[in-house]
Order: sequence, then C-alpha cells, then structure tokens
Amino acid sequence: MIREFFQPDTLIKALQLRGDYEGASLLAGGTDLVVAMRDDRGPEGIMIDLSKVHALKGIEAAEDLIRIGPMTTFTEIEDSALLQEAAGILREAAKTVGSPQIRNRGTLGGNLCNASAAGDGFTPLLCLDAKVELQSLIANGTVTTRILALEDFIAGSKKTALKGNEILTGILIQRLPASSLSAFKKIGRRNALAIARLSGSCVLKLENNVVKRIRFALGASTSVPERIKAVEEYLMSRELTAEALAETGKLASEYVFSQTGARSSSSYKLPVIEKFTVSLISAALGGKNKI
Amino acid sequence: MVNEKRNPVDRQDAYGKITGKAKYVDDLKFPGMLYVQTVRIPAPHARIINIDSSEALKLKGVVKVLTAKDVFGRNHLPNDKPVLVEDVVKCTGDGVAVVVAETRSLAAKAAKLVKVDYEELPAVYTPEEALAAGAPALHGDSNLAITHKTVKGDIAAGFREADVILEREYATQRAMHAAIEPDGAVVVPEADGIAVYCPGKGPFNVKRAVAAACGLSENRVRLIQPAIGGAFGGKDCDINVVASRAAMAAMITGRPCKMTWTREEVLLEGSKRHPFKLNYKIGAKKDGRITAIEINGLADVGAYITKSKATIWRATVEATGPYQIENVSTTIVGAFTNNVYSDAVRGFGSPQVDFASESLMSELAKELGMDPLEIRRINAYREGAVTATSQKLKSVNLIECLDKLEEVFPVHEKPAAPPAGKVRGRGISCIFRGEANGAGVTTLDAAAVNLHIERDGSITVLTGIAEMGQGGSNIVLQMVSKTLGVSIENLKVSPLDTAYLPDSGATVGSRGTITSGNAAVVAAEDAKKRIAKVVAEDWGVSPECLIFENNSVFTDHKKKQISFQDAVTLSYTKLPGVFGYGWWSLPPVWWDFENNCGDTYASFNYGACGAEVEIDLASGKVEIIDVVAIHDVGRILNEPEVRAQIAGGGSMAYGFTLTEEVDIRKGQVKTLNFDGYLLPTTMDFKNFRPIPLEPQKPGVNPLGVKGIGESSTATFAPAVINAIENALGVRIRKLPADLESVFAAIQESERLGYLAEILKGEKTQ
Repeated sequence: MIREFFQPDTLIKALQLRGDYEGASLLAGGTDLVVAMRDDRGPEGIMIDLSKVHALKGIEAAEDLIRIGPMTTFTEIEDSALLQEAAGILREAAKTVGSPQIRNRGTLGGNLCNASAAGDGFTPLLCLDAKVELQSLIANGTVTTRILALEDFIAGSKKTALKGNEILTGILIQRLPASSLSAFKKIGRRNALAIARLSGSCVLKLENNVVKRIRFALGASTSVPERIKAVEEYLMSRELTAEALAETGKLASEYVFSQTGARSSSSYKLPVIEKFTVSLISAALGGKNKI
Repeated sequence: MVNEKRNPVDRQDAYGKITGKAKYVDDLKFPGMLYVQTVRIPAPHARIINIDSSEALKLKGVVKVLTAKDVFGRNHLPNDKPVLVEDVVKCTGDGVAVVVAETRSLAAKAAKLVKVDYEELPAVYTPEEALAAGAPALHGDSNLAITHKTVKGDIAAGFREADVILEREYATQRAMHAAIEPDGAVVVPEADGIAVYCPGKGPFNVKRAVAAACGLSENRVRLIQPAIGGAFGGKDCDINVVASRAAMAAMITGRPCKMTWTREEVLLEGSKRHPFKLNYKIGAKKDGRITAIEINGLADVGAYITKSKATIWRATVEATGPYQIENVSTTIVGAFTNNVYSDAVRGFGSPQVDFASESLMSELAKELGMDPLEIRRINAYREGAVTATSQKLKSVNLIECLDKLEEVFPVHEKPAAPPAGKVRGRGISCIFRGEANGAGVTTLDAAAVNLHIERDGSITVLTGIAEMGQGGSNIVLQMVSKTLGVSIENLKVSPLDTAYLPDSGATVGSRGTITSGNAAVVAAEDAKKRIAKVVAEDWGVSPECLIFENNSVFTDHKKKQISFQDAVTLSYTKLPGVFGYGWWSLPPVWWDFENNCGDTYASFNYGACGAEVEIDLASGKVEIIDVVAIHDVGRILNEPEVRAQIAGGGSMAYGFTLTEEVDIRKGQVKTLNFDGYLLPTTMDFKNFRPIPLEPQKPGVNPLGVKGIGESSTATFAPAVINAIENALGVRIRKLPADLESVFAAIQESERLGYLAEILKGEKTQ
C-alpha cells in the first residue's frame, strides 16, 4: 500500500525526494503502475509523481542530437513532426502503443523503466543508438549525471540499471540521416490495445545494394528487447540478395532459440521470427528494392 | 411526421448515457449501505468441511459473514447454481460464503480471512472425461445433463445413395458476453419487502429468483432496473445469484447492501458460451444434392444446468443448417464438468452449429468442385419445406438472402491482388434461426405494453422490455407513436420497476421487437378505441372513420378536426381514465420429447454473409477486407437501428471467430481480465456492410417483423473461416482462428505446395 505520495514540481525537488526516500516508486503515466496496484502487485511505501516536472517533458533538437524528455507521452511522440522526419521508426512504434487513451497517458520514460520485453519503445531506440541520461543528487546537493547506452540500461527482464536514488531525465538519439532506410513492425493479436506478440526495428544504410551500416532489434522474442548481432554481423558489408535476406531470418530464429530454448510459444514464434525478420528488412527497403 | 423507418429517431435512453446522467447499478449509493464480497476456494471440486469466519469478523467494519445456512428460501433448483454452496463446490467460481462490510475494500480484505477447510474431490474437465465410465458425478449418478435429437428418414439409405461422403469434426471455444458493465445489484430493505436495484435483462425473472431465494412472496420483491451497461445474453442467471446474495445480506443486516462483481469475478464465476465439439457426416450426389447428414455433438455444460437444455435444443434443431435434407440424424449431448457453467450468450447455441454446418457446406462444395453459392441454392429451404423435426416452414426467405449476396458481394470473382507477403480469400455462409423462445421454453412467449395518456396529451409508456443498448424501448415508442399519430417526443418510457409495470418477459431470444412491438400496437389500438369513441360521439360520426395522424384526430378530408391534446381533454370529461393496455403472444409452439419432433419456432429468419480476408503470411494476422451481412428481418421498423444491431452482432462474432477465448485449465480460469480476453476494437472490426432485407414474405405476426439480435452473431465465423480456407487452401476447424492456428495453416499450405501455387496465381493475374 502507498503510504505517502509526493508531487514535486521541479526536477531538483524530485531528485531530492528520490534521494531522501531511496527506492521510492516513480509514477510517470501510470499505465503499468496503476494496473499493478489494482492487482496488489504494486509498489509499497512512497510514491513520487513526476507529472508536474516540466523539465522532463518535451522533444528538443540541437544539431543532430535529439533529446526526448522521459515524461513525453506516446501521443506527443506520435504527433511530433520532428520525430517523423528524424526518427520515423520511433513515431511508428508510438502509434502502435495501446489505444489513444493509453498513448495520452503512457510515457516513453515509463515504458523504458518498466523494461518489459514487449515494450514498444525499445526496438526503435536500440536501432537509433539511443542513450539514457540518469540523474541523482549527491550529498552536497549537486546533480550528478550518468549517460548509458540503452543496451546497458536494460539489465534483464523487467530490470534496469536505474539506481534507487536516480531518475531517468533524458533519452538521447542521433537524427537518422536521410539516406538511411528504416522500418518498425509489430505483430499483435489485434490492431489496437495489443501487447506485442513480436516487434522489431531495423535501420539500414546501403551502397550499391551492399550493407554499410545496420541495426536490427527484436522485442518480445527473448527476455529483453535486444539487437540481434548475428543478423547485423552477417549482413554487414554483404550484398542484400534474396538468399542473404532468407539467411537473416534463420539467424534471428536460431539466436532466439539459443536464448529461450523450446517453450510452449516456440512452435509459433520461431518460424514467425524467421519470416518477420525477412519482412521487416524488406519493409525497411521500402518496396523500391523488392527482393 | 418523419419517416421513422428510414431516418434516425432520437433514442430516449441515449441522452442520459451520452451525458453521464444515466445511473448504472454501481453508481447507486444509499445511506448506511454495506458491501458484499463473495468468498471462493481455488478447488474445482471439493467437499466443504468447515467455514471459520472468526478472523474476518475481527476486522473493524466487518458486519457479517454469511453461508448457505443463512439462505432464507430456496438455495437452488435441482442441478442448478446455488446462491451459496451448501456442501460441495463444483467449480472454482462457486461462492461458499459472503462477507458484509462497511467498505468494498474491507469486504475484499475480509473475504481472504475467511478460512474454508475442504476436501478435494476428483474432478472432470472435459465432456469426454465427464461421460467416461466411473467418472465422478457432479449431480446424481451421471454427468449426462441433456440429450436432444432430431431424426428424419433413413440415414443409412441416404448415405448409400451418396456419391461423396465427408466426415469432419469442428470445435468451438469457451467465449463470453464481455459486457463492459459487470454484474451487480443493490438491495434496499423496505417496510414490507425488499427493493432490488439490478440491471437484469429479465427483470421479472430476477424478481422471481430473488423472491424464491429469500423466501418472500413475489409481490414483496420489487425490481428497479438502472441503466444497463450491456448484456449480450448475460445479466441473467449470474445476476440472479448476485442479487440473491445482496438480498440475503440486506435482510439480515437491515441495511442496503451492494454487490458488484469485479472483471475478474465475471471471468471466474460468470457464465460462458457452451464449447461444442461437433462431428458431421454428410453424403451428397455429384450434382450437389445432399442425401443424408448425421451429426453428433458434445457440449460442455459446466457445473450447473441453468439454460443448457434450451440452448442445446436450439443447436440440435438448427444443426443441419438451412437445408432440405430427407435423411437426418442429429444428437447433441450436454455433459456436466467442473468448469465454470455455460449459459445463454447472444446466439444461444446457433453460432456453434452454424460455424460447423456452414464450414461443412463449403468443404462439400470444394470436394464436388462446385460453386459454394450454387450448392447452397440447390439444397436451400424454400417455402413449405419440411424440417428434420417435421415442421412445415412459413416465411422462408433464404433464396432472397442468397440472391442479395450474389448481387452485392463478388462471390464468383477472385479478390484483387494483395500487397507482397499477403494472400486474400473469399468465403460465404448462410443460416436459418428460430424466432424468439420457441418450444425449448414452455411458458407462452408473451409481452405486455401499457400506456397512460396524461391530461396534457403526453403519454407514459410502460414496458418491461429491457433496454440494453439495442433500442428495444424505442421500437415500442415508435409503434405507439405511429398507431396514435402522436410525435415520439410526446412519449416517454417509464422507468423499469416491477412494482407497477406489466411483465413483458425477458429480453432474450431476439424476441423484443416481435413481442413488445406487437404488444405496443395492441395497447395503442386499445387507447385509440377509447378516444375515438368519445370524439366520434361528440361529432356524431362513427368511430371507425376517424384518422389519428400528425398529433390530431380528423375525419375524411379533414371536415372535422381536433388536436390530439384536445381529444384527450374531451375524453377525460367522459371517461374515468384514458389508457391502453396490450398483451400479445406468439402462437403456441410444441415439442414432443418422446418422438423428437414438433413445431419448434413460430417461424425462422434467414441470413447470408460474404467475407473477404487478407492474411499476413509472416504472422498469421487476418484482416477483414470486406464483410457483407444480409439478414431477413421480415419488416424494417427502424433501419439505422437494425443496421447497427447487425453490425454489433458482427463485431461480437469477430471476437468469437478470431480472438476471444476464456482459457480454463484443470478447472482454473486463466483468463481473468480484458488483457487476455481480446475483444475486437474498431481498428479490427471494419469494412463491415450490414444489409437488413425486407423480403416478399414478412414474418408471421401482425407487424411482420423478425428478430435480429442473435442471428447477427451467427454468419460471420463460417464466412470468415471459409475465406481463410479460400486464401490458403487449408481449413481451420476449431475456433478461435488465432494467430497460432492461422500461422499453422500457412505452414501446412506451404508444406502441401498450395501456397506456392496460390502465389504463382497472383503473379500471373
């Protein structure tokens, strides 16, 4: 049961509270937390609501660096012209989150800190080489900042590297070059209000049909959303032939099997991952390069 | 006046619902109100040894813990669901006690402190296990709950005559109503009885059930119906139990008591759609004519009988599909299991058998190399056809539905080329469905509408038909408005309170418009006769020559004219009261249980459906490209409403077809909320074209109407499943066709080389 509820209106106050009550739960949009509380799986003790901390909201660009406040809602991401142009796959992913009501409340930061393998925000950010900014107050009252690669922030299933006195204060991505090809895809049991059965993102740079740069990540397939290095390494510097593409599917499926072993869902997931990988990379190629 | 048939009429229930002024049961609060929480145990079959409530009662604010011993009246009918279990728990949803406390959360907390000692008993989880020799019996000495049959001709001879014989097995899942409002009731003790606030769709049934459970005479229980947040066939036996538990708490504490279920409780204890397994054997000539059909079905009744007899009876009567077959044998058996009980869900047994019989018809067409529409036409029921129960059919409109389908849906054309990585297919289906309750229910299928004409000429309409969102009460108003020539704005439906309303029967069986629509006309004619007599005497003319229109009463060519309001004022100077009372019932039907024959339903309605789907080959995801649902509604009274009702049924059927299932393993309900029970959203259910059809032959009642509430749920599944088969060359015979089963069909299609052929075909198009 929640004993005390704080609603700080500045980041400093929020960091102060987080320091004073180390491990206190943080309330962002509440779309996971409130559901857990209703099911008696929620946090105990002290809760800090971040909804009034304006410094944690909004999307800003400086040169090629884009900074997304963790309290930015999925609706704001969906509506962002900046992201549409600079990080289209993140916007695509945001559009598939829950329903309009959930997107109005749910935040990107909350999605990351909840660290579900099926979290829709992860695979695009992994492919965009996202970094997270974590802040805390130290004894003398100054703010310390840690910057981690998103991959390092993900510590395991439902676990992050966020410390008990830290708050996620920013999500940092590089603007995607115009020459990049990218795609986000999600398989859900229905077209809205669907938790990903499988999701994935891909960012590619091709020269003469040879892969010069690739990021490929899958969600809801292993215990954490992750880049599938076997696929990336295989495709790097390789010509994107139909055979090569087919091979990526096999590699992705083999990798997932190596991580999960045989599960009740494997008879569906493993062959689907194979096809999904091919269709995701094909989608990034965008029909122009039909294989 | 506006043409109400074609144009939308404002729904009187809509204003409150849209503005939030409508009060649902959980909005109701009374001074001193207590909250009632059910106590359950996690065992699906267990003998209760002891219930110790001492710890729960120690909590401050806990008022009482009640058990079956505290039930005043009849706890349950034979084999039926008890208010609280006396001795043996038969499924995990069963209530063994209730906690009554000052707050909802306190009641929930205290329920966990009630200590129930029990001895687990061996349990049965499937109908097959239940009927096996030596299986532990839930009721009496056998789990055989019911067997229904129809027999016609000589099936052995019919199969000998056949050129082709197919045998197929189909299965449907455990699905549910999924009304957004969970079941609930508030009971307020009154000086001479109790008032039950409860959104039951059969208000008088709830009243009778609560009276019996409380040991009160029926006239001391008053049921007041708040706004209903959807029923879909539910808010029936479940709500009887909810209201009875709250009533018992209210009578014992002398304070208002509320019980509203959480979503989890709806899933855990609430009734579900019967899962069916159906074995079909069909024989046909090369020309497509069916020579024999043999159907053997097994339905999971769950722990209690409730309305399973009538549900399985309907399924048995309709199991062949709408076809003229000379040699028929149908047997459907229902078995008790230690699963949550099965009961009425919109469709009431039809969607299960229609999925099977219409899948089979398309399988037969493919086997014979025939057009799926043509084979249906060849065998279709026509006027005067005699069914497997020896009933001669009237108002048979199947061919008109099929003709319309051919006109509006490109049955014979290939779908347009899909995007890369996808395939498309088309499928069709058609059905017949018995009207209203039929002979499966023994009381006369009747409804009443009364109206009181106020002194200012406005009219209060009393009807017991439950407005669950379907627009039933507005149809009653429309009929009164039309008959008396009075604008619908001058009418108002009275709140539903059994203390003064006439019994219109439950709003079930797609019977609302047929029964209360006709009763409304009788009531309005009754009132009209009284007013006409007064006006005619005043004018010295005969009452028959008066015309009631445009809020006035006049003679031919308006030689004499008076406003409706003045006519009423005049009537009050001559009559003690100005009112109209109307009762109407469907003609009696009958069923001979010895010989398995009878006039099952007064008449049937017919429907046809065409579906085009697109399947993503990488995931098995099915998208609806186009669905057209044509339904014989006899006569259209309100086109926007009937179209909406068809679409509503279609969207419910979408879930039944593709996404919805309540997962129960070893008696434990695994699906406990809407995160796992996947209702379609507007993003899924799209491209749906509802077409209500006014055929040449209207329904067999004065208004000529037929019910549409449930038929609308029955055609979608087979049409979509046939379309998936058409796209992949592989058939799915078990619902729901979820991602996994569609993907398995894709893999099978690949393995058999069909998919390569299909994709080659696309390229050459």
